[in-house]
Amino acid sequence: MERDDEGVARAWGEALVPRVIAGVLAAGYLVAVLTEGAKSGTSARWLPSPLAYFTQVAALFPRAARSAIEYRVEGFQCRDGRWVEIDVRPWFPIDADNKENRFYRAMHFFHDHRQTMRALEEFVVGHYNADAVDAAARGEARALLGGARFSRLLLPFGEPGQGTPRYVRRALGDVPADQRKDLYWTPESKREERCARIAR
Amino acid sequence: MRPDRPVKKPVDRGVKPRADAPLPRTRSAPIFSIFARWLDAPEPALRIEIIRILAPLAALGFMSSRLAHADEWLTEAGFQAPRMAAPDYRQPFYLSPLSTTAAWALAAVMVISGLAVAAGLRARTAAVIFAATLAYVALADRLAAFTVSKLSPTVMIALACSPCGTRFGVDAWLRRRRAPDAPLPALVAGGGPRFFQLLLPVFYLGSAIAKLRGDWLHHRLVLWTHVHDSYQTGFSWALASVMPAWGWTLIQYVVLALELGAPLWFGLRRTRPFALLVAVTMHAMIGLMFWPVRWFSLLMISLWLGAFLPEPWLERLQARSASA
Repeated sequence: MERDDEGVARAWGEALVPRVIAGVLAAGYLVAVLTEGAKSGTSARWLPSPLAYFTQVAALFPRAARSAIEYRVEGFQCRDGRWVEIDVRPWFPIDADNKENRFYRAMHFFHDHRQTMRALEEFVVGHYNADAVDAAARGEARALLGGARFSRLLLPFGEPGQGTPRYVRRALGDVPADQRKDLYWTPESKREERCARIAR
Repeated sequence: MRPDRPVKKPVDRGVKPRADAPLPRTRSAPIFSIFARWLDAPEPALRIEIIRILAPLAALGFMSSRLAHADEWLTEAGFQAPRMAAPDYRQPFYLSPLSTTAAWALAAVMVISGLAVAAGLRARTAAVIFAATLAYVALADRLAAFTVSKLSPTVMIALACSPCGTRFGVDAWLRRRRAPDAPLPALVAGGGPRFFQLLLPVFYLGSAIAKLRGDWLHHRLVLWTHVHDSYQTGFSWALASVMPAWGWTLIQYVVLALELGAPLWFGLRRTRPFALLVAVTMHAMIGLMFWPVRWFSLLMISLWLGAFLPEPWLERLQARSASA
């Protein structure tokens, strides 16, 4: 396919058809990237969703952040009947310590999608309890969970000149209630059902 | 006696045109022929080879944290969003989780094909395979997909459609060994490099329009607001602590001017080297200030350098490598 012609390498030789096809596709792609950057969702109007998805690349950081956003999980301990913070990072090890991790992304995209939040709750509670059973086999006591609660933290960062604090992951207990919003929690009936099963 | 009156010359009023006179023959608009000539003009082979070597390495670097946990990423061992009733931006196309074996096999194919592209070993075929694996994982897991995930398949397809791998790679080396006297091509057909030379200004112009529609004109500290979360590095924290507010505003407007004027800055020969310097510096700063985003920065820097490094530099580099 390649042809070295007077020192010029060509991918398609002199064949016109592949060059024209490639040119038309490239032009379509560039138009889609530009229009999608200009207005989100534009390319999805005339391209199939999976193709439009690959053109949604240009709109980077268009808005100012109002606060630093984090997500946290609490587990409902059947034994004590109380919520305690649990660390889900062991089950989301990809980029575990920054906001690109898959748990944060699941919360970002799907916090209002009930079916996905239910699946996430099952996943977290299932993994926590499986680890607790393994720990018990090693002689470490850990309370089993009957449910989970997912929260979004909106952490203020002040104004320039007020002294920017170094970022640290804060425990949920250190965050004032007005900076936290609970997004999804296991319904009480489901918690009771699970705890009853655990008690048996 | 009265002097003779000057004789009036008859005024040439031309000929009354016929109602059905044929239009004069004109040349076709030159803009298209200029564009076609520009599109087809050969470029130094190094232009496309810089992208062929660096872009897959940046993409693999981005994928490395995912590849290390292929089971969490692509199988039911990790959390997978359930199938949605109708496709939307969160799940444009549903792909079922893979088995553990298939996930690790996909990861292996991705690594091998990506490295083959960078090494120039069957580069164009490898680029097609690499693009397919990248596209698959971008669709299969929206949670771990970012700009690099979505842009890289296109970059690889563009490489596959160009004569990449003719220099500075394993295939070129093997060809040289087989026929030491055969000249290696110094130039490549313009299509491949032109795609990247158009993609970047289009990409950044789109980005600038998104920023204009967002907060960048009426909020003076957009950049500053983004350095307080888990993206923060020691460098960005130090900058946030010492740089005055007007410094952040200045950088914000420099970025906006670069992006908004990208077609102009990179279209004009005189402004191009300065624009390239600003673009590369901008991405170096992004990488240093938002460490998880460093692979995106490296990918874009590789595209910028390949597309817009001044031609005399590339020719000098090529000549030096040829003599070596």
